[in-house]
Amino acid sequence: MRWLLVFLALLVPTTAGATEIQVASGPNAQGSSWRGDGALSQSLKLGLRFGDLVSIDALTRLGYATVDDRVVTYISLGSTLYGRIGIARPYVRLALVHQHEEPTSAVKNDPFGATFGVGDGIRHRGGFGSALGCDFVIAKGQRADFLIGLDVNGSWFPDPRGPSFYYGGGLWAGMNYGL
Amino acid sequence: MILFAVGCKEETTIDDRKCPPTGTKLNYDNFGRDFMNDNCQTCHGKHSSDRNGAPSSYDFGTLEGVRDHKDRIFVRAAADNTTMPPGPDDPPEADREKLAEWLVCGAP
Repeated sequence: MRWLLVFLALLVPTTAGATEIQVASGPNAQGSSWRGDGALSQSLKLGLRFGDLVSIDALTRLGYATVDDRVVTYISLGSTLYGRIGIARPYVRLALVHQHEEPTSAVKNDPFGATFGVGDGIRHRGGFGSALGCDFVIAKGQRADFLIGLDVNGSWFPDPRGPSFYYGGGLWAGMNYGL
Repeated sequence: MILFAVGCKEETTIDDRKCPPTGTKLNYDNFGRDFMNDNCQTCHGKHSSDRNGAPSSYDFGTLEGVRDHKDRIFVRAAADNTTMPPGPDDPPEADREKLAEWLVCGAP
């Protein structure tokens, strides 16, 4: 029990920082509950972190998945809880997810509709996302921290019109800018 | 960038195939109806209880409905096009080739 308390104390940020804008991007690879499915995507995360501890953030991904030759657009709004161990910032993120999936032939057939999520052949699904990850601060500026990181992530969609589960991991590079 | 690198598989269109010179022995009664019922009608049927988001204009319960959309059906499901029906459980390749022949010959 004592060791658990010590561990948790290490995780809690030691200084209350100002509000920060977070920007990060990186590649992500996933499998899914569809047999033989694999997906590669590029992620972009924008967030606002309060007190060096918790953020609200939007995370989007645009990528390609192999089964049905489809484009996957992942849009999520969530919250992330951060700890601190030296330069490492472990975190856990929970989010609500909206995802579009459409074959590349549907995109070619109606690029305008596909861009705005209203074209024929687009499946819209809602679900839940989560991630466990760690950022590492690699450089500090006057108001900005520059970081790299990695995470394992997954999402679940109750709507059965596509894979129920996606699971995988990603790499990140970004910055936190103190307001 | 990833999308453009790996997601640009060229689809086979109905114009890429020719109807055999002797025509086809496939018709709606001996092939088309069963293929559409087995693979498409769950979502694209007029009386489907759950269309899973399939547009109402894409109704393949009649031969006319199939003929109206034969170019799009070809691009999504015939020959080496495999994006319909959705998911990893696809009809056999031989059936997709039959579908291609039937559609390219005008879906008789």
